[in-house]
Amino acid sequence: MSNTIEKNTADAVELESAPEVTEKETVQNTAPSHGKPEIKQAPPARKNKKYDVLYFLQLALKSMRNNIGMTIASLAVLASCLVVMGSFFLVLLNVDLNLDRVGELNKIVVYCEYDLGEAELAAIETKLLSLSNVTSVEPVSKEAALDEMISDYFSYSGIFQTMKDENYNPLSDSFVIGYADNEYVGDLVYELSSIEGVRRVNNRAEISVKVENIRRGIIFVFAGFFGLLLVTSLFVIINTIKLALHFRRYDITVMKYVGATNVFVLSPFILEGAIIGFFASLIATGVQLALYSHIIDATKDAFNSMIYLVSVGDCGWFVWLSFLAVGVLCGLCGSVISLRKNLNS
Amino acid sequence: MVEFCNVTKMYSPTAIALDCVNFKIEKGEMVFVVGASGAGKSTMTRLLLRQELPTDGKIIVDGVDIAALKNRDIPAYRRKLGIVFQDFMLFGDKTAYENVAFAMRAVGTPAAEIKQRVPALLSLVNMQYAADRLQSELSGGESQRIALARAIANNPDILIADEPTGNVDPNMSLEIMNLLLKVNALGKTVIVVTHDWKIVEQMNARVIGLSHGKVISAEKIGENGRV
Repeated sequence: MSNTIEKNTADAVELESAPEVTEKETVQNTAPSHGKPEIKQAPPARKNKKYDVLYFLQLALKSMRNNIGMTIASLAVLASCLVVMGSFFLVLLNVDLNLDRVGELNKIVVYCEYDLGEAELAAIETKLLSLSNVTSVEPVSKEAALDEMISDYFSYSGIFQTMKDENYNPLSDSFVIGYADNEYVGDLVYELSSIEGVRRVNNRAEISVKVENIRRGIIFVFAGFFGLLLVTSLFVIINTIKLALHFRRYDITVMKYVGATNVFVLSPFILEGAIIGFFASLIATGVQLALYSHIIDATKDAFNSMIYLVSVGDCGWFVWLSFLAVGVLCGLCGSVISLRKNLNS
Repeated sequence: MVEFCNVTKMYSPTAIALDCVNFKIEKGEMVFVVGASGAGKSTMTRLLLRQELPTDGKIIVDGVDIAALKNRDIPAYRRKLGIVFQDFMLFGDKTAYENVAFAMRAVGTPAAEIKQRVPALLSLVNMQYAADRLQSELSGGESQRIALARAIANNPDILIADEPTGNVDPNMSLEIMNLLLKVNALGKTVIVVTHDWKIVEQMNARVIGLSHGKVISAEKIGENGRV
């Protein structure tokens, strides 16, 4: 080993020159105060950068493994949030579907007394048409009502068919009333109830209002829970990324000294957030569809054909895609927020 | 190439790290910055690395006032610099090859170029035999040579060596200095920050002497080995 300083060594290995630069970077130009040469703009950055995405992925997965506790916590909280969101969505979906089956709720059904004759029914219809708020009157015979009931409750079709065969019809003739003004529906119901021969008035509008209130309640509770869980998920992901940053602080310091680009520094952390979101969506989809499938199986006999539930096959893809979008977005947002807050420190 | 124009760095009214410092380093020059502890050497290095901003004055590097750089321009500026630290700042769980390659990968160098240049860099610092060894298995001198290879991996214009011989034995210190001379011979501006006068005395290079935050000399070392 040499014990003197060698001057002007000429056997240096020739290093390749840096590639040509083309992009411009702007810098504030100010001349030094003591009359030195004018300051020029900073030279532009290297253009032909190449990044290995697999390398970033490797770093992200390594970071998740190193902070396995926080990673699991993030997955659990985000997946829970998604399951809650999915559950409320499925409730709303099924409520809407069954409301459609109930039929038009902005109608009033007038049930006549049992065993009225044709003339009496015609008189009732005339009176109904004379009312001011009434726009349409649709007679429904008891035979037609029985046929509709048979088709709606097909699980009990045997019982209804027996009634039909024995010429026994417990239903009465009815009229479906359409009305113009919702504001005066109360008055209309009173008038209808006063007509001779009318046994009962079913104001579906009341049901409609009640169902609408239930829907609003569900949406309100859903939005509240979802918002709360989403904030919690973001908070957990922010802390997960913060821990990841802390764990890799030495790496980041070295990166900053060698002039690493922001893409190189930030990509593994952003990927980590997205990966957490992706896996949370997978977990949530599995749990959600398993739960829903179980509910469908458990209530199949309880509801029979009275209440119809959307099948897993019909809603599964939509549930997964929604979870994926929300999960990955949440993961990305959490990463970005954490990086903005903690990277410089 | 590097110019400090009336640079002052004040951490508090009673803590003035640099006081109206003026000096100029030409392109391709090799310069030693010497001074006792607390003289302002580390502050000067941090300012040059744009880790801190001067309280007053301008620092011109290659015609650019680095104090005026926006945060997003700092990475690009730092790619013009190569830094060698006293404590190496290498990754113990990476091999010598990987440590050098890391610097190139971090700035987006294509894999093919990395594969081509890293062996050449290791050869330059006489460490080609240790390419597959983990940094934790290398001696201080070997680690510092790897750190030097990493510092010049991205072909910087300026190499800053902050106490490069602080953690190595005297024989290896001379070898490190020879390597720095080799790098200087390639046309790089080399700035060596040190308090090791024994090394400085053997160099026929310009010395910028700092004392209590002021430049006391900026001339070539004299015949008696002192400024």
